[in-house]
Amino acid sequence: MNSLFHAINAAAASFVVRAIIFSLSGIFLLIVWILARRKLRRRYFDRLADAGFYARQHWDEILAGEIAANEWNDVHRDAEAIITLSLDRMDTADASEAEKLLDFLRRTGLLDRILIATRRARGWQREAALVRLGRTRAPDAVTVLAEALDDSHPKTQLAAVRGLARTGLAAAGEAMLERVVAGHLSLPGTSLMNALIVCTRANPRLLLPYLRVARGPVRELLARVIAEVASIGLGDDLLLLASDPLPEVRASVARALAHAEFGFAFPALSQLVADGEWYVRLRALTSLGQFGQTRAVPILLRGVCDANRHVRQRAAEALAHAPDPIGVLRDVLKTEDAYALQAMIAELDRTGDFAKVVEMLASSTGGTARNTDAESILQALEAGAEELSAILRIPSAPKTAQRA
Amino acid sequence: MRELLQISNNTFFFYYLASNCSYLALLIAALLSSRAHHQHLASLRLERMKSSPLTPPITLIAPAHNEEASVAVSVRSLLRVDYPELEVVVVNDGSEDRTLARLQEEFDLRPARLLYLSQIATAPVRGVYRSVADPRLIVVDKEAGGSKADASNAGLNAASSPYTCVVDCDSLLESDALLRIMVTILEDPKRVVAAGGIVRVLNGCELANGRIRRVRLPRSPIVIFQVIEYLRAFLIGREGWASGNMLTIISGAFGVFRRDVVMRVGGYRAEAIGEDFDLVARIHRKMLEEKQEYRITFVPDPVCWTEVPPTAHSLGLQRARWQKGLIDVLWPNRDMLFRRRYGRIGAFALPYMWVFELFAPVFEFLGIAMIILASVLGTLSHRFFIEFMIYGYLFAAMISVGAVLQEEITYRRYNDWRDVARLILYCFLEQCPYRQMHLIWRLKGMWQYARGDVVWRPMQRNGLESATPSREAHP
Repeated sequence: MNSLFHAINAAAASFVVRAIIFSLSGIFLLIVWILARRKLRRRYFDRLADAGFYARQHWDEILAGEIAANEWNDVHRDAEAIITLSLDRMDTADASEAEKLLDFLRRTGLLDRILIATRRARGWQREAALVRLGRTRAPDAVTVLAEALDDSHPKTQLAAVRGLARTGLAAAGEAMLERVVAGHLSLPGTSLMNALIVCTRANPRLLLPYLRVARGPVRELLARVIAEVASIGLGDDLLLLASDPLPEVRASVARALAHAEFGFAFPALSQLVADGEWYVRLRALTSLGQFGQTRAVPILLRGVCDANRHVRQRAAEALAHAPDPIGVLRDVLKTEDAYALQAMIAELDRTGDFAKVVEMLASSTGGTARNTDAESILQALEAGAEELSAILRIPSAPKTAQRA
Repeated sequence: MRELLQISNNTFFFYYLASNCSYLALLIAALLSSRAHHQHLASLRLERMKSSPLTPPITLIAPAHNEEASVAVSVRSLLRVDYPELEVVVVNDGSEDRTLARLQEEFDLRPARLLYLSQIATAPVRGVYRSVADPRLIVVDKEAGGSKADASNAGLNAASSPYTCVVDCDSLLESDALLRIMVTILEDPKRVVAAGGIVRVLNGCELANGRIRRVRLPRSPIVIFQVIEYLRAFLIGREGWASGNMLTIISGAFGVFRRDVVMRVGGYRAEAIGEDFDLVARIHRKMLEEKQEYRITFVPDPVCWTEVPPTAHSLGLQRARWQKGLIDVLWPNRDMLFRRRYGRIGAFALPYMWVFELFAPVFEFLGIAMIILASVLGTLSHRFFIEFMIYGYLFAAMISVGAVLQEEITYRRYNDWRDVARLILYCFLEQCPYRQMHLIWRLKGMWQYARGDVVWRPMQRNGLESATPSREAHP
């Protein structure tokens, strides 16, 4: 036993001495790292700021070529400052300015410099270069970025998707769509959807052939994209998709129909408000409400009596904006649905119109038949509001929760 | 006796060695992970996220209990957070001061009979209000539930967004904090169910209109020690654990959760002492039991600034409570230890919490006592004793300096050279007597828990508004 203790003690003693040396060296290295990093970064950013300041001051001359490119192109820092400035301007440029900037990037060899970086750089530097290439909005960048989509590393693929999104070109959208449908690109939905939205916004028809052949989650993804970009230009194709077996697609169509003309969208939306899936009904009612047409009111009234509280609330939201709120309230009362009335009161409350409506009703109460009608609406509203407050006071048993 | 001392000394030596090795491993993992995150940010532009129609709405939930001094500044700062679809739910948790009145004065509240569904049971709600000045603000007025968890649950009930973020009412979120924290979530929305950001010390910073004008290191040593502790806990501990998908704590002061997941686990446990740790533990349990693929992440750059206890007394109360919170979560979840179905959480993260967090004060106290006794009795050589103490001191200082380096790499908020120099200096001063005081507070917490003393004792705060002049007077 003693020999074991002795051995442990000897090992511990020699370890502790080495550990002290290790800790001291670690502290020294860490402090040097902190100080050196501070110093170097400060120097680098000071110089970059100087270069940026010079470039901003002489931007017009640089762009016009009055200051020759070889004066700044050979110094990496100066070229970096000018690339950054060009791309920042490109982000907010209109078509003609973007063309000038792209011409400048080509003429001065900066575009080539970025292209080379996308091929030579590795890891995060390549990812940054790919996004930067996309920001140039150069049509020839699409091929390079599309090649990067085939990279085995998901981070590179993601950077390529971001780069393609920055171009905003239809060709970039097609490059992504081909790979998505073929199952070669499986990235997190949001980045891919954002990129597809940007690239297909100008021409949503681009999505249709891919949507026809897509299956499963890819089809859902494309449906979500089409919901964001769909326009009246899609025409009858949109109506065909309204009877798609996938509820996501139907919901997207319902959403997209909000951009169409009322006469065109109304029959399809009337069909979708009776859909089996609550979120399809919700989307359809939202779109119907956006038209602000009186023809939609009877359908919205059916929506406010829906079994799902989200759907009821959305229908109430649309009805609250109807041109004749008192008339709508009368119709809601006629449904004899307490939940519908509660949804209306909650919505009027949310928009701040509740007091206004009550005031309007109070001022018009009197002896005539019409005014008796107003009085009954007022009573119902006040009773309903009280009931809602009561529900709030007893949160464990809300009536709406039982139903939803 | 000598043999017993020898065995105990060897046990403590190996315990200490294992603990240091784990700190070192966490430091290395954290440095690598922060570097990767920083590089990833090079190809990302937050403004694209802001303009995307797919960026999901978030509800910020701010429980407020007697926060009269800071509630207006804090809520104004929350409403200024740069995020496309934001809702702010302030829960007045039965305040006995003028918290609700302050909110009414500042934000022109009016009753809103919203359909508040009590999906999670809470203390009775007295009313729901919406601001006329800013309709994104909802105030839930409820009776005191006795815990932050109960108030957070009321906020969850009122929230209408798919993501929620509970923040303390005495905290300030940086304007881009939500966009930054959502980066990791949006890159993998199906798997990432929660993300934590970094909480940093507000004391000492210069404020103007609920915003930080200049980040400065406080003057009080006890607060500087906490600055280092926070850097170490977040930038080494959480970053390191998150890199292995084993994060067990997301700070109650700042964390984004998927609302459906929080609802599925029943929200915050109202009687929990450490409700933040408890929620994350229950999410892990639920997800692992359901065999779902999920991730709980930590993002080092979204910052939430919070006021920390400025005195030893209030700090002692806070640390004792944290220790009680730790026991309160670890004990009910003891069945997760070393069980295959709980994967790496049961195999590494929770055992680590038991051995190197929960029992650390006990081991440390006994270790010091035994080493001194052995040294006095002559079973331990004086030379070894001194060398071991030097090693312990230097290694702990090295880890703290590593945390300062992490700060430099990730967000580099202390721009003044003097602040960095003081931070490094305090890494060396932290070991005595602060560490020993901390040990006593934690032991006290354990003792209080064992006696059944689990009463919430609120921390005394200066309040964001009232604290501003003193901060501005900082040299």
